Amino acid sequence: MNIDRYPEIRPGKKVFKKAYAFVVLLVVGRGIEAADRVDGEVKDIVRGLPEGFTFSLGVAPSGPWMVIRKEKSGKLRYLGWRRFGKTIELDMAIRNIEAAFRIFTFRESTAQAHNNGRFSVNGNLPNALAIMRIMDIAEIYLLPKIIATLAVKRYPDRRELPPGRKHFNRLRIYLRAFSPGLFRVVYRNL
Amino acid sequence: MQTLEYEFIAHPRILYGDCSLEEIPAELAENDACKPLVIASREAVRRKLGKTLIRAFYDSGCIIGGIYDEVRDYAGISLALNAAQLFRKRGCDAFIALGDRAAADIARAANILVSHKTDTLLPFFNGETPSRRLMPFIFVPTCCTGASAAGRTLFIDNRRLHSDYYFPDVVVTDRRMSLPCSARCAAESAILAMDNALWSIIDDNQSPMKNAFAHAALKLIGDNLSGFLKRPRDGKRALPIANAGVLASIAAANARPGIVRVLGEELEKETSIPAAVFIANLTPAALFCIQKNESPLPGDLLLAAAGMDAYAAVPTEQLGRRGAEAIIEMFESAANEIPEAAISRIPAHLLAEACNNAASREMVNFGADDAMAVLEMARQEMPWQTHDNGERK
Repeated sequence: MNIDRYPEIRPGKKVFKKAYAFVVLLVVGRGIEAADRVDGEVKDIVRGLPEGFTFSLGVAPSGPWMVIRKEKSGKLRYLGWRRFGKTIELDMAIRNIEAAFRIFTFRESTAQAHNNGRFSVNGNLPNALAIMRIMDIAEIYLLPKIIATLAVKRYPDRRELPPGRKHFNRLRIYLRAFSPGLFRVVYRNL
Repeated sequence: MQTLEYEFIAHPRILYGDCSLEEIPAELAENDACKPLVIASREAVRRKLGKTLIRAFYDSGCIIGGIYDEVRDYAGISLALNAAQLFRKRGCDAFIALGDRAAADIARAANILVSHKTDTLLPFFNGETPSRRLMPFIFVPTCCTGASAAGRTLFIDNRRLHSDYYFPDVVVTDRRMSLPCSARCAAESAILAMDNALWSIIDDNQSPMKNAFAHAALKLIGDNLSGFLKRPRDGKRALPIANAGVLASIAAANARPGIVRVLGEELEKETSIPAAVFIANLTPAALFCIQKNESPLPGDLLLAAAGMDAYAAVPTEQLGRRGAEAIIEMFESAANEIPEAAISRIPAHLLAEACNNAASREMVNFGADDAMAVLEMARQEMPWQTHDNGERK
């Protein structure tokens, strides 16, 4: 049998989808860091996490990733997209880039994605659920309501999150997320 | 109260839904594999399903050892030997079967050859069972009755081997793969799935697990069959039918083979007409024979096909009859899409030979006379095809 008739195949890459996932993770990562400084509920959740707690969220097997750590000061800090040299205590990975693209284009909420088995979690489950709640809150601030309702499990009503407070916090989060600190993170990761 | 004694095995992990094809690399990684050999049917490659499979591996870090696409309708040992040779030379560590039953059987046979480091299946044909776990085996059923091959039977060179090791590790039913190529193919897929589910339920060895699988399969088919037959290319209908095929084949793998399936397979061997054609024509006759012998039919399970409302509207004592009627109706609606098997035109000696071969198969609980009675019934004007006043339905 001539085995050359059946060549070995090296599958290609989905460059656009990876680039899109990279940008979303960068914005969400910075958004989570900013939400921790602005929103009281996020602060309460972060208070329950152990000091030095580091988690990563990304797309298996080859990224992109976002890495966030709870500093000694008790605040969350976005460390960028490189996982090398960091002790990851909670590793949350979306199982493939197609699933990540579905989640990041808001065709599937994070809760629904968990339900569909799109995530693999390596670490403490209560901490993973806490991180999911933080991500939901960050997405509520970062995204317009019409999109955020698709992305989160339940969008808070006007009593839980009054529009004035929401828009004021949203402005603060955007300013913090895209402050010069962003360039610091990018520079450190390059 | 009757005490149940049963055993049930459902080895495959079933991946179903959107993006399930992209889960394959992760499943391979969980099985410590990263370089699969794809055994694909010619038809699947012609429909560019091979390319779709390759795209699912993008960004996965896996290399595909090759796509062996020589499989047509028949699974022969020479193909399995070639596939095993390719597997060894490329240093692969898993099999992916893409296509119908023949592709799955070639992958199973090649898997035995490489796992046992041998070049012959003769010991296995002589009754030996696999002595070690086989390489990871992922099955991606495509159209043309593919989903019905998710069981524990290896059918190669007209010989049947059974072992729990032959179950696929993962069965992937994906919208992009499971679309049938024609209305006839859709009908055949549905008939095989219904037959597997039906005879798992009728089987003497009752097991709640088997019933659960078969019941779920019948429910899926009952909900989607009419829409599926009208629009076979509608993914929303095709995917549940493919899923039903997988569930029914797992249930059937834990049951004795039914008289209709065995007869259909033997007649296929004799006449080269697909088994599904015979199954569609013989099932009503077989059900009528069962009812005539006053054997109780589990109508509550069979009525899953008609839905909850129909079940609720039927008195308890009529459940068996109405369940059989609902099943026959489904078989007949599917049979409209395939040519009629003119059993009366098949020479009597071939029918007799098929009956004898069917009765001599392993694990069957019927004789050649029973098989012939079903064939005779199928050749007559069916009593269920006429109203009580004698008019044809």
